[in-house]
Amino acid sequence: MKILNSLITRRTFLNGLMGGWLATLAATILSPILKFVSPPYQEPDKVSLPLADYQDLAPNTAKSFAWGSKPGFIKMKDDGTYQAFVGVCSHLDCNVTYLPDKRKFYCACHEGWYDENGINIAGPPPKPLRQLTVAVDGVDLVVKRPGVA
Amino acid sequence: MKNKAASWFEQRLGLRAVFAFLTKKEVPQHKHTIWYYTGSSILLFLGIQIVTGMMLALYYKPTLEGANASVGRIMTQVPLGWIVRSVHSLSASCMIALVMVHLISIMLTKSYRKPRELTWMSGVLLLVISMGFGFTGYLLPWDALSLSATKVGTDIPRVIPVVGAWVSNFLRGGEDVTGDTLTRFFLFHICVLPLLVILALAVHLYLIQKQGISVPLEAERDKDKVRMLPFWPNFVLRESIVWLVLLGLVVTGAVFLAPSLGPAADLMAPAPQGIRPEWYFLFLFQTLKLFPANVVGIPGEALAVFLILFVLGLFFFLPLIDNRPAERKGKVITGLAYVFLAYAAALTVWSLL
Amino acid sequence: MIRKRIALAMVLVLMTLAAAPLLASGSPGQATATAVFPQTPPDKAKVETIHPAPKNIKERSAVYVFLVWLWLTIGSLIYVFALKIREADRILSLHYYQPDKSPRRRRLRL
Repeated sequence: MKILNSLITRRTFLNGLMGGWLATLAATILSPILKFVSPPYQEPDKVSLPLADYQDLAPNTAKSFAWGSKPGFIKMKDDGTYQAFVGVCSHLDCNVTYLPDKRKFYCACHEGWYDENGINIAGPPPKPLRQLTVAVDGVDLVVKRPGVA
Repeated sequence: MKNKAASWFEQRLGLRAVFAFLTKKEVPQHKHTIWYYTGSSILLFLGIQIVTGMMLALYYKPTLEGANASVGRIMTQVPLGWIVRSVHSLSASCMIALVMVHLISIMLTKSYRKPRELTWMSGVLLLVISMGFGFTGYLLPWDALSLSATKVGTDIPRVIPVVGAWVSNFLRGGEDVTGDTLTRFFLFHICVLPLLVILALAVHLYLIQKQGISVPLEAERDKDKVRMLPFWPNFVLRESIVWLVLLGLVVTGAVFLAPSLGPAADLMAPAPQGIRPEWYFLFLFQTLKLFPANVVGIPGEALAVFLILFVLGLFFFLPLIDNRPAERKGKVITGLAYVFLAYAAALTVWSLL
Repeated sequence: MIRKRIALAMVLVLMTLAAAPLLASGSPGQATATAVFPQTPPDKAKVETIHPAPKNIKERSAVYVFLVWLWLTIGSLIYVFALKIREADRILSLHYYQPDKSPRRRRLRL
């Protein structure tokens, strides 16, 4: 059966098919490689800390703990309750510190300031510090991501 | 539009000459043509090693404390890490096996005769470098087996007089195998040996392009009758099929024959039972075991090492030794080559029993 | 003969289309277990051999799917390459690029 008019020649069709399959092969090899080189980082859902380490925190002081591979802060409020923050600046990821005399969190990289509740008040940070829920559970201080049961 | 871009590059790089050469390149067709595929297959595996090696190096920690744990992390936590490590390990064995097949085919068809002596010598260099890759890579997981293999392997040069101790200390980074040895071997594996392999390969490939593909002795006599196949596209298409099949086999093999990882090596612990080097060193290992402790006052180990070095030297200079391949001398040398192959195979099998 | 070839090519196209959802749902690698950072410091590494294997049934089936897909791709490519080899060899035997050797081209006075 001879096709008198055709959009593409048989050669173009077969070449296209071959190109398509080669691309598929490349994707088949490439996608595991990409998965391998960028492993997903998962933040912990919760972290249990020994209450004894944080029991003697004076009001208006903060102590750091490990939130996965980021620093976290456990802060004792004036009314005696705990607050927990992820101690990473929302601007460009530098680690912040708490200055009790100023009642503010301070990021030294670009002079970013957060108030005692982590709200960004001065400098480049666009968002407040991330807050985590913290509760006493027996002999542990359990810090959780908000929304995690 | 495409032609404008092509001509822009052509005016500056002048690569059309290279492409023109490739289209004119021809491959002889005869009953031994199948062995021509071994060379490029080695290149395929080298490419696989480089890619998987770079991927593994993203997570590997070349320190005494971190090595074994990092390999364990790759195998358990990094997505598909166990497949990447498995491919790297299997493809290493395949590459060295192919290098040996390539060497055997060249040796038996006597393709090393004039003017291809330097091609052969760079090839022997490439064989030694490949085995060096295998040896240095074997230590990197830092488990009990690899530690023992490295201790034995780096102790062997000691028997060479004058320079032996220095060579051994250089390889180990000291008198004993320590964390320094690991760092050193890692450097050899990812930097020094790759640079050497690129150099030797450049020489090897340049010579092949310049001199053309060789034909076996018998075919050379009937020169008119040898059919030539154009390299592009005929031979390249066939080669691509071989590459595709090898790629599929290596990935499939890696999934089902993945190597495991033992616990971290303890420098103070006694050697475990059943230590042995990788399969391509087995015949050398067995040769060493064959020699008695003392032969006429000379330590047997020293004799074995000298014998091995001597045979390696014979291999390297084979084209110069076998300068009359078509005559009786050539036939004797072919016979000796078969004897050597039989010896290597027998000893490998023996060491596994 | 040509009809058979076209039919086979159509089958390949249909297979490609059928596989599109597989590709769209993400590479088989996505089904693998993600790296989990432990909440508590990891126990001292258990002194045992680590055997490489997929972590769960999802990852195991993903690996099998990946292998099947890989061989399917390789098989189709080999088929197309074989066609091309046949074409290239035929051109060679016709001495298409060397008119003085080719009887047919000489006849056509090309």
